[in-house]
Amino acid sequence: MSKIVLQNVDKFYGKNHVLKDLNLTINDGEFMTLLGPSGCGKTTTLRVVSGLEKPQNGFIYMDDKEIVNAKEAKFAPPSQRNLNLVFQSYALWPHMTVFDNVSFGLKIRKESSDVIAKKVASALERMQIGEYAKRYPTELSGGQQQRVAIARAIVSEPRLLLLDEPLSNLDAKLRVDMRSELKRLHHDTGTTIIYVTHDQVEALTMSTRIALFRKGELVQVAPPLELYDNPVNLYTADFIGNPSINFVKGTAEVDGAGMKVTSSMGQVGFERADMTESAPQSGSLAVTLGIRPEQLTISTERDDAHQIEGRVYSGMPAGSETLVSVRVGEDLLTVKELGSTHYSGDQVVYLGYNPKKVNVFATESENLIKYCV
Amino acid sequence: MYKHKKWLAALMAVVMIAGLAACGGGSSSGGSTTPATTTTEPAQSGGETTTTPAATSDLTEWEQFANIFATDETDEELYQLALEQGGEVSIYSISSRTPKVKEAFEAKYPGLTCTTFDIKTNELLEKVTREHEAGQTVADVVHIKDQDGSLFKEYIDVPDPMLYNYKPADIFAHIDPQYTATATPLYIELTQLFYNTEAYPDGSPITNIWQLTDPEWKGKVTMQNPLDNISWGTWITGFCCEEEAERLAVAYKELYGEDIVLSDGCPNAGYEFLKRLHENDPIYYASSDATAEAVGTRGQSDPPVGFSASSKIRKNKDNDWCLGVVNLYPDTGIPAVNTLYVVEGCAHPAAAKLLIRYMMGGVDGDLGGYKPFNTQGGWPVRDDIPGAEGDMPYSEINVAPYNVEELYVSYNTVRDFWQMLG
Amino acid sequence: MKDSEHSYSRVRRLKNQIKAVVTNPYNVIVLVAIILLTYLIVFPLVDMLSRTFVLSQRDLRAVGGTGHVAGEFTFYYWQKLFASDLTKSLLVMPLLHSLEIGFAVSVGSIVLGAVLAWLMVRSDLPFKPFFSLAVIIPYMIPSWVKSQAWLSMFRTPRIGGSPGFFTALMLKAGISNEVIEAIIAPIAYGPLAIVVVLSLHYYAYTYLLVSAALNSINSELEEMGEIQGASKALILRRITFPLVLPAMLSAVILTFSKAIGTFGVINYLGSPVRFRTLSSELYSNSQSQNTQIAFAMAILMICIAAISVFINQQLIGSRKSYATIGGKGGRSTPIGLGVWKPLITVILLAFFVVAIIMPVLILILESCMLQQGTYSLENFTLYYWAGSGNPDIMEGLPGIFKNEQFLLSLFNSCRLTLVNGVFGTIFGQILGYICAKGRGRFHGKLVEQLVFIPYLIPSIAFGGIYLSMFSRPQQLFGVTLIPALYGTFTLLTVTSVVKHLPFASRAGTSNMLQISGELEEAATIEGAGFFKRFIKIVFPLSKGGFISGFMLIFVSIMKELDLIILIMTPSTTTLPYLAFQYQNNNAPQSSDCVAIVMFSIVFLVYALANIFGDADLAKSMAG
Repeated sequence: MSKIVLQNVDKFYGKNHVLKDLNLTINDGEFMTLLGPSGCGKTTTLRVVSGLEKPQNGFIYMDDKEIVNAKEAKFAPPSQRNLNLVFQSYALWPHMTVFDNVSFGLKIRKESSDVIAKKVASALERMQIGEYAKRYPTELSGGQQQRVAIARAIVSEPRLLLLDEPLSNLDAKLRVDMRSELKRLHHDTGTTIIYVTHDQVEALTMSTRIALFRKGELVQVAPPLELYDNPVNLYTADFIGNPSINFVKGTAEVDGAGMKVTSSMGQVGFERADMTESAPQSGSLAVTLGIRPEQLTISTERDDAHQIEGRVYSGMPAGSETLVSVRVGEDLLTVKELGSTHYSGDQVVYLGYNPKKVNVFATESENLIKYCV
Repeated sequence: MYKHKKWLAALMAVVMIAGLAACGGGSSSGGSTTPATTTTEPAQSGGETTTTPAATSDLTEWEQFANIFATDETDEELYQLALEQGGEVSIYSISSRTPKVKEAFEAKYPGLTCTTFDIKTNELLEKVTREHEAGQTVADVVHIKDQDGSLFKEYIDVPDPMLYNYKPADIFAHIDPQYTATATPLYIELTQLFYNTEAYPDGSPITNIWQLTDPEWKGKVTMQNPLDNISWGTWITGFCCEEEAERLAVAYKELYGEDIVLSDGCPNAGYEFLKRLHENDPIYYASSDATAEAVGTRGQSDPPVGFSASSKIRKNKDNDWCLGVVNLYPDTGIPAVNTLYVVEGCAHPAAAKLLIRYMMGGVDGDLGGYKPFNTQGGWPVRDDIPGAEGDMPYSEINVAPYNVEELYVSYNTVRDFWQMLG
Repeated sequence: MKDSEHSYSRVRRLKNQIKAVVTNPYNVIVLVAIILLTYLIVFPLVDMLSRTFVLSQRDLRAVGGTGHVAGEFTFYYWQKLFASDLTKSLLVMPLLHSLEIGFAVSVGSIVLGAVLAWLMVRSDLPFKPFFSLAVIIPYMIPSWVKSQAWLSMFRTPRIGGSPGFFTALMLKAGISNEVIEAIIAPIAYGPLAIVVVLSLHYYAYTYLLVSAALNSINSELEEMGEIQGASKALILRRITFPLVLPAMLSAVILTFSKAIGTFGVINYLGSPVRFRTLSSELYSNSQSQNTQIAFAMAILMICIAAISVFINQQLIGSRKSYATIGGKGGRSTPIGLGVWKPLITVILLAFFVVAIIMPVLILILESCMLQQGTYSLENFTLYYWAGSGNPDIMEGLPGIFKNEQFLLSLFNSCRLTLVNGVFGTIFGQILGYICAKGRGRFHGKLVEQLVFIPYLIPSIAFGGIYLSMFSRPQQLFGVTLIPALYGTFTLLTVTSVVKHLPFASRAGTSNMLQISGELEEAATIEGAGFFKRFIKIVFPLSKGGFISGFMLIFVSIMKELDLIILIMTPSTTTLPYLAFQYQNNNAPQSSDCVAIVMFSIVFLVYALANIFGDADLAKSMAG
């Protein structure tokens, strides 16, 4: 319900440059996830949007209304931004009951008590914690506290909901449940959501788009699948995906028609049409192949001349899937195979892949030069 | 919210201005000592009743109003004037006995109310000075001791006096002029040497002051550290005054049969005495009470002797001590004279003068105002008032000559001398 | 929307900046606080400092010569202090003694306080409720009472008076005076005695701070160590100790500065052996009306303290915070003392009997003796409590409960302590809030330093300067901003509040540090303004600490005399003033009675607060 535009935002803590010239647009109704390792600036971005922090440079617009103009020292206070925030620690007020916690903002807005009661009840109900209204936060479990925190954030029906790693304090099972609930919440309310996490699974499963951070800079902003399929550089490729993408070093000869890459994965040709605009037009260069584990096929018999021979390093069956580490030349590749198969150490296997589905990165610039299509 | 913000902004402005004002106010507070505005109004009405219009041009407004230099007013005149001036009087005193004076005074002069406040010397002086500087004169009368003459030299004998000596001629006629030269004296206290009469039933083991410097008494003389306060500081200064030093030299010769040899850095026998006393390791106590207790407690086999305020003799009764007084030769040092002053700018000068006269014993034979002070260990300055029961007459006690000018000049030097001894 | 599309206006920027500063209540409060503190603290300090450069009338005689006038600029005082024949005995030796006492007392108090805190908080010691109430009493007993008690135990024959309890025993055993002197004298007077007595007084600070810190440590941290196989000693040394180290450093500052600033005990126990410190020189000089030298010394002491505060800021300022409210509640499992439990219990009981009950008992006993020092049943009397004025006793002074002035002073004292407690605590909390939020930033450090200054300005000087400042109306352009306050209760309050700000804000700071910043941010997001946040979130969460802060101020103002004696008028006298007056009036028993009443009030309020308000002085001082 709200479009956010961040322009050239810089944030310093003392000499520490936390956000570097950040430009990001979050569209109305989007579920935007800010993803990255800890300390990369994603929480800071969230706090800058919320108004809790003032950036030193840049502009922020909310529905084309200027809310931050650092140059002119204009910073709209959080209360004027029509948003709400769920803290990582929940930040529930320990001296207030669940009802008081949730109704706090409404009371500040001087809503009538009927309206407050109705809205709080509805928010609690939607988070399935209606029966705890009279309890104090310390009397609730972690999962329940988290629901109270979300209820408090949504009760005022904000146009923008900010969530700061809300699931990080929950156990694995609860986390999966809450994920789907949040997604449902987004679907039901249509509220624009900015969601901070370092967990790529959360990011990939919930978001409409993901903004990947690295040391205070945006690396890539894209829908989850695009981010997964065509990471713009080695960093993104490496960060996204579990198990991690396989990198294989090689050399490429580029010409007008495409390029030929030689590596331990054999010699493969790629068409110009699949390559990026920034890819060189000719010459030779060092490249890195990025192959997702699930793109590799594995067999104990050679059934295609293009298949590459390798030796099993270790096999890890996990019921629905099996991860196999295979040594090919100098490289150690991870293969993901559906179903459960047993491999013994040093067993000779044959790997196959579809070159179309392979990413190629220029080793020096680390940037993507060939898409996966 | 907006209400708060405006309110705060306003508050901030006020505070900033207040801050500025404080700086401004502070810089001017140390300056001149004009009379408080409250006194100007009665000055006009009271001025007409004053009896000495002479030389008014040289006098300040308050001096005229208070007629402070008059010496011949009678009790009755002052009483009437006091009633006209509001019937109130306030006294700051170093003595806790003033409440008794208050009761007697109010009984004798119906219609007058007396307020008393007792406080230690330093605080009293600080309080009066600060109040006076700020033009908030509260006390009309101050009862204090001018230990080293600094009150006279710094508060009276200066262009803008803060205190005035009121000199009623009829009463002053009965007082030794050496005590009235710089102050209006009330009564005299001494720093005396005490011994334990239980341990020395045959009398004091010490008669000559120089005995205190003998090895026999090493570490066996109690006193307060002269550095600790101005009374003790002045008391040791008394020994270094010229005439007293000569007396000490004579006493030395009488005791040891030879002339005193002065050490390096000791200009006279007084300094030499202090040096030797110091080297004999006197035991310091934190209070005069404690020194007296150390000497006077019964049941000691080898008690020390000690210097203490003469009034501590009264503790013999209260605490069952056995203090005996030594009439030291050549003398027990300088006397500590309790003095009374009228505060510049005060609103009730007539009542102040009346109260001072009353405290000094008056002239009508009613000693109600003086009685609270006429106790053992304190001596009247007047020759027509008998001392307290049990006290040796003041005239028989060996007391050092009291020369305010010399004390005042030497005080710092002697205190520094003692400080340097360690 | 490229950068160039934005029109930039310097005017708008300035307008926004001003608006941001002025409309943010936090900024306004910081500004107001800094201005007020500057006015109320820096001004007196500058006044003191400037006086040390101005030749006084009374020192004209010392400077000599004719070329000098009173009021001229001079280095005389500083030169006398730093570069004269007197330097050694006036400054160097006393300073060394001060540092000696300061360090020794710090070590003693830290060890004692930390051990007690650990026993109370972390061990399975029995009778904890009793102990935790008793452990704080020494802080409430005036230190001169403790000195008196000390001397009544160890006094030796050489210095006269009745021998101390131990000395008397030795005399009875036939030991000669010389031997007694050699053994007991070093214990009875001088540095050792001072250090012991002061440590028994000031360990309270460490106890309060460290027990607060221990309370906030999750015992799982220690249990983790245990699982790893560490011995209890190792756990204490490697896990517990580092966690409470910041609290200890804080305690060191309070103890150290207080120990170098204290005078009474040093004078009492140091005099017989001529042990003098900077504080005794300061007091002596002030009593000898060498005001400027005294001020210069006070400034030196303020500098020493400022350095220690600065070091403290450097050492623990970088730590994030001790936020314990808002995080997971820590469980606390007491650590078993095992076979040591009975022994430690007995030692503690003995300690409390000696250090707490004895002085109080001696005080009570003395208040009931018709003649001092006569220990017999006939001599026992309640006259000084409720006698109705027998002219043969103490010049007819009635017992305190029959004495109107006592009742007036009681009323005044209660009023002063209550009003001050409330206002002092509120300001303390606000200043604490600034210190906590501004931690590591300039304004936070500034406020923290400013607030600490009154701790070391000699009370008399402080009172005197306030008298001058407020005895006439403060005006600006002819507008009266502050009316003349002299003689009013308000001035008593202002003076006491400012002088006790160090305690109050210390309590406030630790209080505020415990409250996680996110709790407030959550309210900001909900649109709560500063005041709403303070009232709805910060204040309720710090209620416990508020009560503790109140207690700290209450206790120390109840004992205060020097500070307010100048500002007091006959109708605003307080209990300490009365106690002093009785002492002056040769009525030590009545004085003891008043002291007992004071102590009882303090103890009663503390016990009530402890029982009903779950207050704990300990909680108020961490950080």
